[in-house]
Amino acid sequence: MRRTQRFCRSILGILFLLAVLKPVTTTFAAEYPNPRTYIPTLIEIEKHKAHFDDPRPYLTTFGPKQVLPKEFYSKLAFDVDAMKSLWAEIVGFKAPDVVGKIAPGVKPGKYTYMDLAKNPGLKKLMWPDLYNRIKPGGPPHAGNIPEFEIIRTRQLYWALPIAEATKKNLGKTKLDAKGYLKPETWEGGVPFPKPTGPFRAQELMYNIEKKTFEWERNFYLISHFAGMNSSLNIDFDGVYDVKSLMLSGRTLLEPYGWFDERAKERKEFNTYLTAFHAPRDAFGTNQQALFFNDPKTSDQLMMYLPSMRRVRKMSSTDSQDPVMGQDQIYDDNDGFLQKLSPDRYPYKYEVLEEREYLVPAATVDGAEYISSKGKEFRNVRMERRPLYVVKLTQQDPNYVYGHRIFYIDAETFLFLHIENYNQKGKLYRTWDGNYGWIPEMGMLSWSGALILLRDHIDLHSGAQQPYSLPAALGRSDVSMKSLTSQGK
Amino acid sequence: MGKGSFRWAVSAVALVLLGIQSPSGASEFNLWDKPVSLMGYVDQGVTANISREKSFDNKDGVNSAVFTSLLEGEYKPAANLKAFMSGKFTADWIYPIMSNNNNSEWEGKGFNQSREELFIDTGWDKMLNEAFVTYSPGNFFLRVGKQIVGWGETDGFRLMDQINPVDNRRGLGDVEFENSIIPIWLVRANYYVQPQSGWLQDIGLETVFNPNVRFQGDRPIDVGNDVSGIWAPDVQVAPGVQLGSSRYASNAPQDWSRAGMEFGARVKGVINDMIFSLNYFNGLSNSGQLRSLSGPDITLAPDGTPIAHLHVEESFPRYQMVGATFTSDFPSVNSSALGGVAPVLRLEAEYLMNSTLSTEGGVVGLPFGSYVKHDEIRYVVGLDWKVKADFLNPKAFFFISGQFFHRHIMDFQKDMAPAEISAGMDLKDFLVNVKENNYMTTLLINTTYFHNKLTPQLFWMRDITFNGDLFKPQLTYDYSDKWHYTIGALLINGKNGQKGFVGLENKDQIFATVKYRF
Repeated sequence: MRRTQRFCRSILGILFLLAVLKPVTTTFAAEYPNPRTYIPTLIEIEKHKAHFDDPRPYLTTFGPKQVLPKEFYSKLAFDVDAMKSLWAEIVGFKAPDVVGKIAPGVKPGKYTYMDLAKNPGLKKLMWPDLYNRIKPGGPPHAGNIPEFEIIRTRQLYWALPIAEATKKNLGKTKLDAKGYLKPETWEGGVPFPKPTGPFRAQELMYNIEKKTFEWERNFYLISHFAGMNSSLNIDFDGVYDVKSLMLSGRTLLEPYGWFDERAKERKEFNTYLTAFHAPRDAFGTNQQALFFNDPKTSDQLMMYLPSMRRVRKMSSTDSQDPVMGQDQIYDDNDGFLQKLSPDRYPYKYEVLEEREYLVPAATVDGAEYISSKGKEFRNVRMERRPLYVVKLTQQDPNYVYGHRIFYIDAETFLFLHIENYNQKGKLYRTWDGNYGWIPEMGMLSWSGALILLRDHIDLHSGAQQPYSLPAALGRSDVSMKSLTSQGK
Repeated sequence: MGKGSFRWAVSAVALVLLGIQSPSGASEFNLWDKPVSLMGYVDQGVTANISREKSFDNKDGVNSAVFTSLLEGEYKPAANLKAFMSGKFTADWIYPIMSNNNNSEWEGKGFNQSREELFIDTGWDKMLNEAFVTYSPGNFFLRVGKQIVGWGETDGFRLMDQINPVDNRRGLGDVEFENSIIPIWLVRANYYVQPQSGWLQDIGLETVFNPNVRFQGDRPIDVGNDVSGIWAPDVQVAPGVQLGSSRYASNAPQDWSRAGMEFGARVKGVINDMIFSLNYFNGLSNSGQLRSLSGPDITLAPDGTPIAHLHVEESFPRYQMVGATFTSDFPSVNSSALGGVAPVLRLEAEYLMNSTLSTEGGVVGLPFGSYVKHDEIRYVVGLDWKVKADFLNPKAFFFISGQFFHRHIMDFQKDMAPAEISAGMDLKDFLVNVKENNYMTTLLINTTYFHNKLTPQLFWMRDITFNGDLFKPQLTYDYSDKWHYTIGALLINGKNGQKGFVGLENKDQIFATVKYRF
């Protein structure tokens, strides 16, 4: 026992030393406010916008402007005219100038599903899956749109530092002979703002991989996710939050470039920590993922399992199995999270089309909502947007999907709709999402967006409307410590 | 359990059930403007014995109807401060059911006498499941209170995981692993750093101190129908004479006594994306070691079966170990035809110093008459692999997890007389027999169908040392995140005298469980 006491004292001594010594080995962006000081709880968010049947434009009363500390907000807001001008220069156009050519008779205004027959132009303007959703809500899938408003096309652009980095790095990001990214050549911003040449489709996919949304992926997000069976009864009522930290190509928040020496040495891309709060069996489960720039380096995944009170190492290659309660696989996370690789499940890349579509518009006010009856998407605004349609055909017959089709906004390079087909060519799963749009920040995020997942084979749907804010996180927020301390 | 207590328990259950009628499921509300989450579950299971062999330790038909409800709440008064509390109510309705039916087999074999032990778990320490406060500023983590600490990387085999005892009184059927761990009062302090290093990504010093507020050892399946009910193993000390409950003289340490205090520390980190830990634990064995004190009492069961009751001393000897764990996936080892998932290797090894064991007995003298001390080496190698088999399931993968356990007793023969060595005597931890080398394997396979709603699963445990098997096939239907239904079977066989699984081989059963989460 005496030996034990000595040992206890030694350990407590070490703990004390560790506690009082400033952890010089830990990086934390101390110049920004600690996200814990302003991040709201789900209860606070749902006071401003209930999960169902709530048309309030909550982002006008509870958006970044109202919630962020003023100084932090001002650091992330820029001159709108400067952003508009620079982004138009970078991409070579403004969206309002390049649309209106298909079905010009379809004008801004309010429409219902009954207007489809009167306006055949609407069919020409929508991708088939969206057109089929324009109807009253009802089984087997959630997310039908019985009425919508067409608004005038807006110019969308990225934040000034992102645009400046994109311009500065224009032409620096390189692809290899097979069209795969040379990871060391990307230094920040949108890698290929003017996709062109034989690898245009791959350039578009790398714009997606390096997407700069959500404050360059420095964010905190909380979401209430509803999974629905083919009778539209909720069979999965989940709540989760995400803390995301960008580790490379940083232009918006300090430190710029690499987040720290470790990220630079290991070529780390970004990392996030997802904490699940509901349903009960998932409460206290945390997942930490670390991604690398080099597609040959395997990503890392750890999970805290509350039932076992342990951190477990998971295999990030476990990416094709369905995610519990949802209508996606791990590779479909965030819409598309699969690594583009010449060796592991490689694709053939094609641009099928470059044309305008009528799409659910990025929301400024968050007035869109989900109805409890029929699980309809309501208060939907639509907007003509210039899009690329990109097809990825899987070359390995063992992958779960035979091909994927992406509808990518040509001005922001964010996808709005993804169709995933199984190896037999049957539509398996779709992803749909507009985005939240903060004009003064030049930022698109998940905040206020209606996100829809549909499984067309098992007839299941998932819908959510997340809330997110910029967050200057540190390593400790997305580490083994956070996995443990946030867990049950 | 008096009638008053029973009414109180039923009222508590009713309140829980009433509280979960909200259609929105888990409830969140504010307390002093800070969030409170309330959730829990209600499980009702039923088992029926299907053994062809009818014996003193089993009974035809329904054997148990275990009900468990848990209400848990988390309160976050600050971003780095949270309080968690859960209360649990467990009852086996088989006791009032059989009592009301005057079941003669139930009473004849003395199962009804285990009512005191297994009908309802009463007492605040059983009903207050967990209660702790967590303070986690920066890289520091402090958790104080009644809690569970899970160390180790393996499933089921508890090498590093020596801190909390387990409650296996209700057997090996559809009892959730989470429910079998007994929370105890602990102080847990961790400190982590995230080094700026290319090879070391994360490291933390984790410590745990057990002040021995109330000593609690494992609650295993004990011998005797009168205490373990239908889970009592079939042990015959002589032809026709069953082994019944023991008369214990417990040497368990007193509450708060220094003899029962425990300490553990480990360094856990991530090196080149592999998780490792170095562990040290100095405490008491959760598993009681037994020594015979005198000859047995003989009583008669109501059906006339003679029952022998041993007089034994139960001690919880010091358990001091150093150990290490390692986990990594191997991305280069994968096949796209099998789904391209890399296997995850899990290793856990410990060296026990002066592990105390009961002895089977000498050529002369009482059986289990003394303790011996030996160093031990124990390790588990586990491999998890997800593979795709389209012809069986085109939409989801098969999860395959295999484990191999080896326990080696050092200097096995040092306390034995030449005659005992030549007689091939084993050291004996009472019912769980111990040889010089002991081997066990487990295999778990599952997959999902219909949008993750239907999960068939097979668990197989093989006792290589004593040539026994335990199979547990089950099918779970998750109607929603709230309602879950499970049916399954537990099949046990053993082939080695009265060792290993032999004592439980008449327990073959089918089970069904309805679970509601809120």
